[in-house]
Amino acid sequence: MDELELIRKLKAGDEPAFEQLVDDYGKKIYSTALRILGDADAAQDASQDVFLKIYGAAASFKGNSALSTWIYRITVNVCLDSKRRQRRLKLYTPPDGGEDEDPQARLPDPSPRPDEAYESRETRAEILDALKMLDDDQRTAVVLRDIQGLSYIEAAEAMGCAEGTFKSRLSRARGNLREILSERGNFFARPASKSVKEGERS
Amino acid sequence: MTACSQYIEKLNTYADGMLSDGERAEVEVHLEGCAACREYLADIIKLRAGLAGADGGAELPEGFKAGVIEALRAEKGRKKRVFIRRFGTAAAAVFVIAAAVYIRPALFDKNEAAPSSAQSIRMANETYSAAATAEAAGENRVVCGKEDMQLPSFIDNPVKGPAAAAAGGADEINGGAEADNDEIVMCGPEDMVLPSVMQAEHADGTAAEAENGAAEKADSDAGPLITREALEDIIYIEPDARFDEEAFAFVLTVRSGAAQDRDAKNWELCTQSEAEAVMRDAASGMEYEYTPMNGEAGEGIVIHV
Repeated sequence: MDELELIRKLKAGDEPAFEQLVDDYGKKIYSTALRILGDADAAQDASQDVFLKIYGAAASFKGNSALSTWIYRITVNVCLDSKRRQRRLKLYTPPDGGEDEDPQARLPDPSPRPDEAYESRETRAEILDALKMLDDDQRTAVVLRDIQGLSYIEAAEAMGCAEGTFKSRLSRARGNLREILSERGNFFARPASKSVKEGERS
Repeated sequence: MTACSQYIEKLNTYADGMLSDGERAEVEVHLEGCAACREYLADIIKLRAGLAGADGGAELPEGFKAGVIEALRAEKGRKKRVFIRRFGTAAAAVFVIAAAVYIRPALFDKNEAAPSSAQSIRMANETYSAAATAEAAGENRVVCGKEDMQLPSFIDNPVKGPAAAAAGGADEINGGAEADNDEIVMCGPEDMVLPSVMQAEHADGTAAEAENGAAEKADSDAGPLITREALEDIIYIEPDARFDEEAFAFVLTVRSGAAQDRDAKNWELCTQSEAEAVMRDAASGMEYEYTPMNGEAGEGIVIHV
């Protein structure tokens, strides 16, 4: 089913089309939400919300942008709105605190093992941890561009800002990530001292 | 080492391979002579690679698809069931106004030309569904409609006009339509007294209404204009819903979501602050306070006028 056909059927409320949409976009939406929100449960809720919004708004989709860009935009809005709501309700837990989120990025075993698989897993956890230190806009910019691989134009559209604004957000975000990771000492200067890192986390 | 500030953004764009030829050449010349920027660029490239691989293996949680589909079905089922809120007790009238976009065109101006973009933004946020009362058997009921409801012909024609409402001369049901572009429809019990501000608005609205023909029969009908049965064909009416006797109150649906989609006439994408702004607009001149029902998307704000 091509995109136009899919949209036409979505507008008509066709359930198989909706299932197809979930197949096509579920992972993108979920992983975007997961990285913006930093919490697996919240990401799942947000993803569901995104799909309902797509359903509710399908009739208004005019095709001015690509379907995927439109979907990313809804995803970003849902996620940022959810963050704002969290803050409003004062339920927001700081990035490093609380019970998290992404079991796959966690280090299951605190004792250092020098093998490669461990290192790449650790690197990933390190980066994802640093990502949570950014403010919402910067984090979203990095998620859209560097994790989801959107072009500048698509990402700017998804964030509802000008391309220039997006570029400067992205630059600032990467600069901040670089600083955070440099301070922690693991990412840019290997081999890292894992004991320091563990100490920081506890 | 700190990279040169004027090159930071360019170095990022360079790392993304998005610089024009001229800019790329300029950056490369600079890089030759600047170790700090070389280091910065190397870090950004490494960071990009790290980020690109950061999501590897992130799988959807179990039951993700089933959950979404289930939520969709629930949403479909919910479509005809709008929030309807019971208000306290006592003796006046309550207006329930749910944000719903399509109502306005359906109600007043099916043939109206497409609104200007400014208008459509307003419509997306400010159009309200009808609040109606069925007064049969001496029991008032509050109902409100939902996004996909089709209004029946009896609403198309006999919504009581502003003049009648303002004069307090309505028979079974007072209704009015108005506020800035006829976007609000209200119905209340016969002894309902409109706040003075609203009376003024209604007076203003008369001409606008006459223009689109909705008020033509405003004063001519004596019988019940809206029956519970007729309404039930199109919208859900909570069995025990009734008017509060005490206060005027507006209820506005709050939805989480995207400001950018306002012009898409999608009321689901209306944030709480937008909703509040809408109410300020709609009720301008009135003093009111609002009570969020619980601040969650899909809930309402009750605005006591």
